[in-house]
Amino acid sequence: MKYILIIITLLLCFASYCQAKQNIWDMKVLDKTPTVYDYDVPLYGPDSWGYTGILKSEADREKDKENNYIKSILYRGPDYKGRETRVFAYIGVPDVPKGKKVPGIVLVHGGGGGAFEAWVRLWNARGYAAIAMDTVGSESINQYGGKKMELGVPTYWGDFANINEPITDQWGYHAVANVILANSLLRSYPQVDKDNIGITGISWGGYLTCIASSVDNRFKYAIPIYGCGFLDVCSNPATIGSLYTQSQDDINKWLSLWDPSVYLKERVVPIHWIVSNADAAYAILGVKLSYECVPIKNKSVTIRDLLVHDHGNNGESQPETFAWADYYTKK
Amino acid sequence: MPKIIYQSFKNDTLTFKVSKNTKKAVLYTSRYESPKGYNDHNKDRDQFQFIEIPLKNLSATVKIPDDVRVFYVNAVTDEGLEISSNIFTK
Repeated sequence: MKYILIIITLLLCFASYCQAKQNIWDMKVLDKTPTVYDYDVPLYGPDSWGYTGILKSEADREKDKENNYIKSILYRGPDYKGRETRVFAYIGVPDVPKGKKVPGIVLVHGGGGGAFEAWVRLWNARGYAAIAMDTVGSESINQYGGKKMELGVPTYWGDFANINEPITDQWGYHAVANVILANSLLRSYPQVDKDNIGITGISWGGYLTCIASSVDNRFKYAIPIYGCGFLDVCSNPATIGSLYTQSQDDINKWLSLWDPSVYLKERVVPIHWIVSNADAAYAILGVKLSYECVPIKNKSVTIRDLLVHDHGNNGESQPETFAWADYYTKK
Repeated sequence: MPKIIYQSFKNDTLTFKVSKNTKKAVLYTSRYESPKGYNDHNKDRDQFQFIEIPLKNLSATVKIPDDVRVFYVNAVTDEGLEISSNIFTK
Protein backbone atom coordinates (compact mmCIF):
# COMPACT_ATOMS: atom_id res chain seq x y z
CA MET A 1 0.00 0.00 0.00
CA LYS A 2 2.84 2.32 0.95
CA TYR A 3 4.50 1.81 -2.44
CA ILE A 4 1.24 2.40 -4.30
CA LEU A 5 0.82 5.74 -2.50
CA ILE A 6 4.40 6.71 -3.37
CA ILE A 7 3.85 5.83 -7.02
CA ILE A 8 0.57 7.78 -7.15
CA THR A 9 2.27 10.78 -5.53
CA LEU A 10 5.12 10.61 -8.05
CA LEU A 11 2.67 10.36 -10.95
CA LEU A 12 0.73 13.36 -9.67
CA CYS A 13 3.94 15.36 -9.30
CA PHE A 14 4.98 14.44 -12.86
CA ALA A 15 1.55 15.35 -14.23
CA SER A 16 1.68 18.65 -12.38
CA TYR A 17 5.16 19.34 -13.76
CA CYS A 18 4.03 18.65 -17.35
CA GLN A 19 0.93 20.79 -16.87
CA ALA A 20 2.96 23.68 -15.51
CA LYS A 21 5.23 23.69 -18.56
CA GLN A 22 2.35 23.61 -21.01
CA ASN A 23 0.53 26.36 -19.15
CA ILE A 24 3.17 28.98 -19.89
CA TRP A 25 1.32 29.38 -23.18
CA ASP A 26 -2.46 29.23 -22.98
CA MET A 27 -3.54 27.44 -26.15
CA LYS A 28 -7.17 28.30 -25.45
CA VAL A 29 -6.19 31.92 -26.08
CA LEU A 30 -3.49 31.45 -28.69
CA ASP A 31 -5.55 29.20 -30.95
CA LYS A 32 -7.86 32.11 -31.73
CA THR A 33 -7.22 34.22 -34.83
CA PRO A 34 -5.36 37.37 -33.78
CA THR A 35 -6.59 40.82 -34.76
CA VAL A 36 -4.89 41.89 -38.00
CA TYR A 37 -3.97 45.41 -39.10
CA ASP A 38 -2.94 46.45 -42.62
CA TYR A 39 0.62 47.74 -42.57
CA ASP A 40 2.28 48.53 -45.85
CA VAL A 41 6.06 48.81 -45.83
CA PRO A 42 8.42 49.68 -48.67
CA LEU A 43 10.51 46.99 -50.34
CA TYR A 44 13.71 46.61 -48.43
CA GLY A 45 16.27 46.42 -51.20
CA PRO A 46 18.98 43.84 -51.73
CA ASP A 47 19.73 42.49 -48.31
CA SER A 48 22.70 40.81 -46.76
CA TRP A 49 21.14 37.38 -46.36
CA GLY A 50 21.54 35.99 -49.85
CA TYR A 51 17.94 36.49 -50.90
CA THR A 52 18.77 38.89 -53.72
CA GLY A 53 18.23 36.25 -56.40
CA ILE A 54 14.63 35.67 -55.46
CA LEU A 55 13.54 39.16 -54.51
CA LYS A 56 10.82 40.46 -56.79
CA SER A 57 10.89 43.65 -58.80
CA GLU A 58 8.81 46.66 -57.79
CA ALA A 59 6.50 45.98 -60.77
CA ASP A 60 5.88 42.43 -59.60
CA ARG A 61 5.27 43.63 -56.06
CA GLU A 62 2.66 46.06 -57.32
CA LYS A 63 1.04 43.19 -59.18
CA ASP A 64 1.02 41.16 -55.97
CA LYS A 65 -0.73 44.01 -54.20
CA GLU A 66 -3.36 44.15 -56.94
CA ASN A 67 -3.90 40.44 -56.51
CA ASN A 68 -3.91 40.79 -52.73
CA TYR A 69 -1.24 38.10 -52.75
CA ILE A 70 1.71 38.77 -50.43
CA LYS A 71 0.93 41.39 -47.84
CA SER A 72 2.79 43.02 -45.00
CA ILE A 73 0.62 43.11 -41.91
CA LEU A 74 0.66 43.59 -38.17
CA TYR A 75 -1.17 41.29 -35.84
CA ARG A 76 -1.80 41.64 -32.14
CA GLY A 77 0.47 39.69 -29.84
CA PRO A 78 0.17 39.09 -26.09
CA ASP A 79 0.39 42.16 -23.88
CA TYR A 80 3.83 43.19 -22.66
CA LYS A 81 4.15 44.94 -19.28
CA GLY A 82 0.50 45.91 -19.39
CA ARG A 83 0.40 47.35 -22.89
CA GLU A 84 -0.69 45.98 -26.25
CA THR A 85 1.87 44.61 -28.71
CA ARG A 86 2.02 44.27 -32.48
CA VAL A 87 3.83 41.68 -34.55
CA PHE A 88 5.07 42.41 -38.04
CA ALA A 89 4.68 39.71 -40.71
CA TYR A 90 4.56 38.94 -44.39
CA ILE A 91 1.79 36.59 -45.37
CA GLY A 92 1.24 35.08 -48.80
CA VAL A 93 -1.81 32.99 -49.62
CA PRO A 94 -1.92 31.90 -53.28
CA ASP A 95 -5.14 32.24 -55.23
CA VAL A 96 -6.80 28.87 -55.60
CA PRO A 97 -9.99 27.77 -57.37
CA LYS A 98 -13.07 27.91 -55.18
CA GLY A 99 -13.28 24.89 -52.93
CA LYS A 100 -9.58 24.06 -53.28
CA LYS A 101 -7.07 24.48 -50.48
CA VAL A 102 -3.30 24.74 -50.25
CA PRO A 103 -1.00 23.53 -47.45
CA GLY A 104 0.59 26.17 -45.24
CA ILE A 105 3.88 26.77 -43.53
CA VAL A 106 5.06 29.07 -40.74
CA LEU A 107 8.58 30.49 -41.27
CA VAL A 108 10.61 31.55 -38.23
CA HIS A 109 13.74 33.62 -38.70
CA GLY A 110 16.91 33.41 -36.69
CA GLY A 111 19.14 35.82 -34.81
CA GLY A 112 19.85 38.95 -36.79
CA GLY A 113 17.09 38.14 -39.25
CA GLY A 114 13.51 39.26 -39.58
CA ALA A 115 10.27 38.57 -41.41
CA PHE A 116 11.66 37.70 -44.83
CA GLU A 117 9.30 38.45 -47.70
CA ALA A 118 11.45 36.40 -50.08
CA TRP A 119 11.10 33.35 -47.84
CA VAL A 120 7.30 33.61 -48.13
CA ARG A 121 7.68 33.97 -51.88
CA LEU A 122 9.87 30.86 -52.02
CA TRP A 123 7.14 28.74 -50.42
CA ASN A 124 4.31 30.39 -52.37
CA ALA A 125 6.11 29.31 -55.54
CA ARG A 126 6.01 25.74 -54.24
CA GLY A 127 2.24 25.91 -53.77
CA TYR A 128 2.15 26.69 -50.07
CA ALA A 129 0.53 29.52 -48.19
CA ALA A 130 3.19 30.98 -45.91
CA ILE A 131 3.69 33.45 -43.11
CA ALA A 132 6.99 34.87 -41.88
CA MET A 133 6.68 36.87 -38.72
CA ASP A 134 9.20 38.94 -36.80
CA THR A 135 10.09 37.63 -33.34
CA VAL A 136 11.82 40.64 -31.78
CA GLY A 137 9.30 43.47 -32.20
CA SER A 138 10.81 44.79 -35.44
CA GLU A 139 9.55 45.41 -38.93
CA SER A 140 12.41 45.27 -41.43
CA ILE A 141 14.88 42.71 -42.66
CA ASN A 142 18.09 44.38 -43.66
CA GLN A 143 19.53 45.61 -40.42
CA TYR A 144 20.43 43.64 -37.32
CA GLY A 145 17.24 42.96 -35.44
CA GLY A 146 15.33 45.20 -37.81
CA LYS A 147 13.71 48.52 -36.97
CA LYS A 148 12.01 48.34 -33.58
CA MET A 149 8.32 49.21 -33.61
CA GLU A 150 6.70 51.39 -30.98
CA LEU A 151 4.31 48.59 -30.03
CA GLY A 152 6.80 45.77 -30.58
CA VAL A 153 8.25 43.69 -27.78
CA PRO A 154 11.57 45.41 -27.02
CA THR A 155 13.59 42.30 -26.26
CA TYR A 156 16.04 40.27 -28.34
CA TRP A 157 16.99 36.62 -28.87
CA GLY A 158 17.57 34.75 -25.63
CA ASP A 159 16.85 37.73 -23.39
CA PHE A 160 19.06 36.17 -20.72
CA ALA A 161 19.38 39.27 -18.58
CA ASN A 162 15.62 39.49 -17.96
CA ILE A 163 15.20 36.00 -16.55
CA ASN A 164 13.82 37.39 -13.28
CA GLU A 165 11.12 39.47 -14.98
CA PRO A 166 7.59 37.98 -15.03
CA ILE A 167 7.49 35.07 -17.47
CA THR A 168 5.01 36.86 -19.72
CA ASP A 169 7.38 39.83 -20.06
CA GLN A 170 10.28 37.76 -21.39
CA TRP A 171 11.32 37.20 -24.99
CA GLY A 172 10.86 33.43 -24.92
CA TYR A 173 7.21 33.75 -23.96
CA HIS A 174 6.40 36.35 -26.62
CA ALA A 175 8.42 34.79 -29.43
CA VAL A 176 6.80 31.37 -29.02
CA ALA A 177 3.33 32.89 -28.55
CA ASN A 178 3.71 34.97 -31.70
CA VAL A 179 4.78 31.91 -33.71
CA ILE A 180 1.69 30.06 -32.47
CA LEU A 181 -0.49 33.08 -33.32
CA ALA A 182 0.98 33.03 -36.84
CA ASN A 183 -0.31 29.47 -37.14
CA SER A 184 -3.72 30.61 -35.87
CA LEU A 185 -3.77 33.42 -38.42
CA LEU A 186 -2.67 31.29 -41.38
CA ARG A 187 -5.21 28.59 -40.67
CA SER A 188 -8.02 31.18 -40.57
CA TYR A 189 -7.75 31.70 -44.35
CA PRO A 190 -10.38 29.63 -46.18
CA GLN A 191 -7.87 28.78 -48.93
CA VAL A 192 -5.51 27.18 -46.40
CA ASP A 193 -5.83 23.53 -45.44
CA LYS A 194 -5.64 23.92 -41.67
CA ASP A 195 -4.84 20.24 -41.19
CA ASN A 196 -1.72 20.64 -43.34
CA ILE A 197 0.30 23.41 -41.77
CA GLY A 198 3.94 22.86 -40.91
CA ILE A 199 6.69 24.98 -39.43
CA THR A 200 10.35 25.54 -40.15
CA GLY A 201 12.86 27.93 -38.63
CA ILE A 202 16.49 28.90 -38.89
CA SER A 203 18.91 28.98 -35.93
CA TRP A 204 17.10 30.84 -33.13
CA GLY A 205 14.08 30.24 -35.37
CA GLY A 206 14.88 26.52 -35.24
CA TYR A 207 15.08 26.82 -31.47
CA LEU A 208 11.63 28.49 -31.49
CA THR A 209 10.33 25.86 -33.92
CA CYS A 210 11.29 23.14 -31.42
CA ILE A 211 9.31 24.81 -28.63
CA ALA A 212 6.31 26.11 -30.60
CA SER A 213 5.67 22.77 -32.31
CA SER A 214 5.96 20.98 -28.96
CA VAL A 215 3.34 23.27 -27.42
CA ASP A 216 1.02 23.71 -30.43
CA ASN A 217 -0.15 20.28 -31.56
CA ARG A 218 -2.01 21.74 -34.54
CA PHE A 219 1.21 21.70 -36.54
CA LYS A 220 1.47 18.73 -38.89
CA TYR A 221 5.27 18.59 -38.77
CA ALA A 222 8.29 20.65 -37.77
CA ILE A 223 11.64 21.17 -39.49
CA PRO A 224 14.07 23.04 -37.25
CA ILE A 225 17.22 24.03 -39.10
CA TYR A 226 20.40 24.29 -36.98
CA GLY A 227 18.43 25.10 -33.81
CA CYS A 228 17.83 22.52 -31.09
CA GLY A 229 17.74 22.12 -27.32
CA PHE A 230 20.36 21.65 -24.61
CA LEU A 231 21.82 25.07 -25.19
CA ASP A 232 24.11 24.57 -22.24
CA VAL A 233 25.70 21.65 -24.10
CA CYS A 234 25.54 22.64 -27.72
CA SER A 235 26.04 26.37 -27.97
CA ASN A 236 29.37 28.01 -27.63
CA PRO A 237 29.95 31.17 -25.60
CA ALA A 238 30.15 33.26 -28.77
CA THR A 239 26.51 32.47 -29.47
CA ILE A 240 24.92 32.63 -26.04
CA GLY A 241 27.74 34.27 -24.13
CA SER A 242 25.49 36.60 -22.20
CA LEU A 243 23.73 33.59 -20.65
CA TYR A 244 26.97 32.78 -18.89
CA THR A 245 27.30 36.25 -17.43
CA GLN A 246 24.27 35.44 -15.26
CA SER A 247 24.47 33.72 -11.88
CA GLN A 248 24.31 29.92 -11.86
CA ASP A 249 20.81 30.12 -10.34
CA ASP A 250 19.68 32.36 -13.19
CA ILE A 251 21.30 30.13 -15.80
CA ASN A 252 19.45 27.15 -14.33
CA LYS A 253 16.22 29.12 -14.23
CA TRP A 254 16.61 30.19 -17.86
CA LEU A 255 17.28 26.63 -18.97
CA SER A 256 14.31 25.30 -17.00
CA LEU A 257 11.96 27.79 -18.65
CA TRP A 258 13.32 28.38 -22.12
CA ASP A 259 15.47 25.45 -23.20
CA PRO A 260 13.70 23.43 -25.92
CA SER A 261 14.62 20.17 -24.16
CA VAL A 262 11.93 20.93 -21.58
CA TYR A 263 9.28 20.83 -24.29
CA LEU A 264 10.75 18.38 -26.80
CA LYS A 265 10.30 15.52 -24.39
CA GLU A 266 6.53 16.08 -24.36
CA ARG A 267 5.99 16.59 -28.08
CA VAL A 268 3.65 14.65 -30.36
CA VAL A 269 4.28 16.49 -33.64
CA PRO A 270 6.79 14.84 -36.04
CA ILE A 271 10.16 16.59 -36.10
CA HIS A 272 13.01 16.48 -38.61
CA TRP A 273 16.16 18.46 -37.91
CA ILE A 274 18.51 19.73 -40.57
CA VAL A 275 21.85 20.56 -39.02
CA SER A 276 25.54 20.91 -39.77
CA ASN A 277 28.37 18.78 -38.43
CA ALA A 278 30.44 21.94 -38.17
CA ASP A 279 28.13 24.43 -36.53
CA ALA A 280 29.61 27.03 -34.23
CA ALA A 281 26.19 27.82 -32.74
CA TYR A 282 24.57 24.41 -32.28
CA ALA A 283 27.17 21.69 -31.82
CA ILE A 284 26.26 18.14 -32.71
CA LEU A 285 26.08 16.80 -29.16
CA GLY A 286 23.17 19.15 -28.47
CA VAL A 287 21.45 17.78 -31.57
CA LYS A 288 22.08 14.23 -30.35
CA LEU A 289 20.54 14.93 -26.93
CA SER A 290 17.59 16.77 -28.49
CA TYR A 291 16.91 13.90 -30.89
CA GLU A 292 17.10 11.34 -28.10
CA CYS A 293 14.72 13.16 -25.78
CA VAL A 294 11.91 13.29 -28.36
CA PRO A 295 9.54 10.48 -27.32
CA ILE A 296 7.95 9.80 -30.71
CA LYS A 297 9.21 7.56 -33.53
CA ASN A 298 8.49 10.07 -36.27
CA LYS A 299 11.77 11.94 -36.01
CA SER A 300 14.98 12.18 -37.99
CA VAL A 301 17.99 14.36 -38.50
CA THR A 302 19.83 15.38 -41.64
CA ILE A 303 23.44 16.14 -40.77
CA ARG A 304 24.85 18.10 -43.68
CA ASP A 305 28.61 17.97 -43.99
CA LEU A 306 30.15 21.41 -43.33
CA LEU A 307 26.86 23.25 -43.90
CA VAL A 308 27.47 26.93 -43.20
CA HIS A 309 25.20 28.44 -40.53
CA ASP A 310 23.30 31.20 -42.28
CA HIS A 311 20.05 32.56 -43.60
CA GLY A 312 19.50 32.58 -47.36
CA ASN A 313 20.33 29.61 -49.52
CA ASN A 314 22.26 27.75 -46.82
CA GLY A 315 19.44 27.71 -44.31
CA GLU A 316 16.24 27.98 -46.28
CA SER A 317 16.99 25.95 -49.38
CA GLN A 318 18.03 22.55 -48.08
CA PRO A 319 16.25 19.93 -50.23
CA GLU A 320 15.18 17.87 -47.21
CA THR A 321 13.06 20.79 -45.98
CA PHE A 322 10.99 20.76 -49.15
CA ALA A 323 10.93 16.96 -49.30
CA TRP A 324 9.62 16.59 -45.76
CA ALA A 325 7.01 19.32 -46.24
CA ASP A 326 5.76 17.69 -49.44
CA TYR A 327 5.85 14.28 -47.78
CA TYR A 328 3.48 15.43 -45.04
CA THR A 329 1.17 17.68 -46.98
CA LYS A 330 0.98 16.34 -50.52
CA LYS A 331 1.05 12.58 -50.09
CA MET B 1 12.67 10.06 -48.00
CA PRO B 2 15.56 7.67 -47.24
CA LYS B 3 15.45 5.98 -43.88
CA ILE B 4 17.76 4.14 -41.51
CA ILE B 5 15.50 1.27 -40.59
CA TYR B 6 17.73 -0.26 -37.98
CA GLN B 7 20.92 0.78 -36.22
CA SER B 8 22.87 -0.83 -33.39
CA PHE B 9 26.31 -0.33 -31.86
CA LYS B 10 27.74 -3.18 -29.80
CA ASN B 11 31.28 -4.36 -29.10
CA ASP B 12 32.82 -1.60 -31.23
CA THR B 13 30.73 -2.69 -34.21
CA LEU B 14 28.01 -0.67 -35.91
CA THR B 15 25.27 -2.59 -37.72
CA PHE B 16 22.60 -0.84 -39.73
CA LYS B 17 19.96 -1.31 -42.41
CA VAL B 18 18.67 1.35 -44.76
CA SER B 19 15.52 1.78 -46.87
CA LYS B 20 15.23 0.60 -50.48
CA ASN B 21 15.51 4.08 -51.95
CA THR B 22 18.97 4.55 -50.42
CA LYS B 23 21.75 4.82 -52.99
CA LYS B 24 24.66 4.84 -50.57
CA ALA B 25 25.50 4.96 -46.88
CA VAL B 26 28.21 7.26 -45.58
CA LEU B 27 29.82 6.88 -42.15
CA TYR B 28 31.04 10.08 -40.47
CA THR B 29 33.47 9.77 -37.57
CA SER B 30 35.14 12.24 -35.27
CA ARG B 31 38.02 11.76 -32.87
CA TYR B 32 36.78 14.69 -30.79
CA GLU B 33 34.68 14.21 -27.67
CA SER B 34 32.64 17.28 -28.55
CA PRO B 35 33.14 18.25 -32.20
CA LYS B 36 32.35 21.87 -32.82
CA GLY B 37 32.33 24.20 -35.77
CA TYR B 38 34.03 27.47 -36.38
CA ASN B 39 33.26 30.35 -38.65
CA ASP B 40 36.18 29.42 -40.86
CA HIS B 41 34.88 26.15 -42.24
CA ASN B 42 38.16 25.34 -43.93
CA LYS B 43 39.47 24.46 -40.50
CA ASP B 44 36.72 21.97 -39.82
CA ARG B 45 37.69 19.10 -42.03
CA ASP B 46 39.47 17.33 -39.18
CA GLN B 47 36.34 17.47 -36.99
CA PHE B 48 34.67 14.72 -39.02
CA GLN B 49 36.07 12.21 -41.49
CA PHE B 50 33.77 10.30 -43.81
CA ILE B 51 33.81 7.07 -45.79
CA GLU B 52 31.22 5.32 -47.94
CA ILE B 53 30.15 1.95 -46.51
CA PRO B 54 29.35 -0.81 -49.03
CA LEU B 55 25.82 -2.15 -48.63
CA LYS B 56 24.81 -5.78 -48.93
CA ASN B 57 21.05 -6.33 -49.05
CA LEU B 58 20.69 -2.75 -47.82
CA SER B 59 22.64 -3.65 -44.67
CA ALA B 60 26.19 -3.22 -43.42
CA THR B 61 28.40 -4.03 -40.45
CA VAL B 62 31.42 -1.89 -39.77
CA LYS B 63 34.00 -1.78 -36.98
CA ILE B 64 34.38 1.66 -35.45
CA PRO B 65 38.06 2.55 -34.84
CA ASP B 66 39.18 2.82 -31.21
CA ASP B 67 40.03 6.50 -31.40
CA VAL B 68 36.59 7.55 -32.71
CA ARG B 69 34.44 9.36 -30.14
CA VAL B 70 31.39 10.53 -32.15
CA PHE B 71 29.90 8.93 -35.26
CA TYR B 72 26.78 8.62 -37.38
CA VAL B 73 25.58 7.20 -40.68
CA ASN B 74 23.92 9.15 -43.48
CA ALA B 75 21.57 7.33 -45.86
CA VAL B 76 21.70 9.13 -49.21
CA THR B 77 19.27 8.86 -52.14
CA ASP B 78 19.84 9.35 -55.86
CA GLU B 79 18.44 12.87 -55.48
CA GLY B 80 21.00 13.68 -52.78
CA LEU B 81 18.57 13.63 -49.86
CA GLU B 82 20.38 12.66 -46.67
CA ILE B 83 18.94 11.24 -43.45
CA SER B 84 20.56 10.08 -40.24
CA SER B 85 19.04 8.81 -37.04
CA ASN B 86 21.03 8.23 -33.85
CA ILE B 87 24.30 10.02 -33.31
CA PHE B 88 26.56 7.71 -31.32
CA THR B 89 29.16 8.64 -28.73
CA LYS B 90 31.80 6.47 -27.08
